[in-house]
Amino acid sequence: MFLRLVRTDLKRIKYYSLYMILSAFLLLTICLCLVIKVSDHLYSTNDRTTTLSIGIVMSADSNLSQMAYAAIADMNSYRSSCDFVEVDSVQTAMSMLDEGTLFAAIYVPDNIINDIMDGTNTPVEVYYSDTGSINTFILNDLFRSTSSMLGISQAAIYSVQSIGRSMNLPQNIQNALSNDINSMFLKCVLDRTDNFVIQQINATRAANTTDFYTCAAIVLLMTMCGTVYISFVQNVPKSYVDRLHSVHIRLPHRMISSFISIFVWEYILYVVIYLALACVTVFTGSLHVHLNSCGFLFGLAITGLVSLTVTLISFIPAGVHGCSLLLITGFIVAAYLSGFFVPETMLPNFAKSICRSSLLNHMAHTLCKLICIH
Amino acid sequence: MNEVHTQKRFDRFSVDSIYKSYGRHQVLTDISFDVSPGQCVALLGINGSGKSTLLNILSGNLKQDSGSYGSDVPVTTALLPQDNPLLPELTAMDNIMLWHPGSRKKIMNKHNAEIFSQLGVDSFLDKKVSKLSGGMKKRLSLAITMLSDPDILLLDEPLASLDLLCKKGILAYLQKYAVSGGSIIIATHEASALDICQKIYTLRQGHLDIAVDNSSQETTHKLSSDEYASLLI
Repeated sequence: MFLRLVRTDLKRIKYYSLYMILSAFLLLTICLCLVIKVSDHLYSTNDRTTTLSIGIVMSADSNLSQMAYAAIADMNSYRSSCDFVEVDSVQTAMSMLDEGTLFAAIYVPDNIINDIMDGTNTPVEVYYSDTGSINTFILNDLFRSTSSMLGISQAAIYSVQSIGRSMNLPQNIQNALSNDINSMFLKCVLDRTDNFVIQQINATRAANTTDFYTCAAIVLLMTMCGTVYISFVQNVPKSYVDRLHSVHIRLPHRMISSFISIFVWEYILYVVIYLALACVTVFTGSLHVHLNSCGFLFGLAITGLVSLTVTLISFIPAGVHGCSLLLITGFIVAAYLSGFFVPETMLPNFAKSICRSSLLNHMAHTLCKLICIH
Repeated sequence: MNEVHTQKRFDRFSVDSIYKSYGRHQVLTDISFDVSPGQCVALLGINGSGKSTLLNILSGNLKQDSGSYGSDVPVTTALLPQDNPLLPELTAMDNIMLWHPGSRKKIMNKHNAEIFSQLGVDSFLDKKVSKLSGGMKKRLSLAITMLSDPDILLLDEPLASLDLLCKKGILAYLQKYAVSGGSIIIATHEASALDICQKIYTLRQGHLDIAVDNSSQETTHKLSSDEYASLLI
């Protein structure tokens, strides 16, 4: 009887799955290709992207500060992303931040360069108007790297000063040496940062952000499509369940039979999505999804997890709508905590630790490594 | 007349002092009655009087609080519930194959083919259940129930929401079944169903009372609408 039940469920679920899978394939290939083709016209132009206005508050009298500012403003990383605006006071900068004229303001203390040279660790204050966006994250990273460069130059100056003292050089020569090394850092060292590899910011820890989100979307799509199967499980007459009960087919048997049916069609859906994305890669070149046996095999694991979740939720006696709501909201929360919507490094601290240990996150990363080949 | 039931030998099917309650609500109180082979017994009662509960107990789907039922020899019962236990996404044949083992060819043996023919089910075996009318679904459900060749057929409101022609067809089939030696316990509040019954019991506030007993007579007494109405008061 159990085998007949499994056979019957496999026949029944076709009614729910066939059109959905066909639509998924057509939508993914046709619509995704179209979107990628027209995306250049939708949100980017031939001009360079808008830069952020950063206010600099520092004394016009301090030559060394002006030199430091000029050197940093010349650096490629700042030049491509920031427009520096000189502001006369912190109060003016604050009001410009409030108005939205400035994205951030940097207050450079008057004797910053001398302080670096003589070991006083005077901080450079940075004020943001917006603390939550990707731009804030990027700027923060830039400022930190600049700060560490200043720290390195301070260390180098100390080393030279220490050498001068240990060699018992006259004070005027030591002073000249300190100034020369400082000048060398400002003119030569900071300028040479372009010689080194520029590492792309990657907030998702994946080899490529696009690849990670492609794989996350596969898992998302499979789970959302799973809501279709809730009515497959729930829309059976009570008398049918009673009759199954009378032939000793209880809830666990029905759950296993439903799981098998859902697993089969979810895997078919996975294969269809995989094929569709591979087609899009071939037609547009914008994705990096390639067909290989590991991708197909790993799909079984993803399908197993998704099918198990859908099956367990489907048997909750909350009606079709209740179970659908539970599946969608539950999965959205899990996906958020797994870094599917917001980059992992931008999650709140408590969520970061959940994200790193999340099964969904690991699955997306593993899938990424298996199917996204450059 | 074609045989619709393979006659088995049992003397009498007895129901003794069945009690059933749902929480503090006593649904059945001291239910006792007998059914002989070839006899049709009606359980008459208003909605919520406990008819379906009694039939579910006799089919083994529900456990009674106390009391017993059975016969001198093991008998098979089959319940046809009020709402048809059919899967709408599948065809009639697929529904049949769920409940009965074997391939399509094996299921379409002489005996089963006879049942399908008599109930008129053979004309829509490959149609999806969702496309069938109420009468067709009821006949299909009855056919699935009859395939197990039960000794006692338990019918819960078999004629509900059916047109006159359909009712006549089903009643005719049930009469043939009873003549072949099969016993029927039919829970209903339809007057037309009582025409084939030798005994009519009324179920009121959990108590069973005999209302009409024509078991000693050759033909059943056709109740008038006044007589029928009086039974329900």
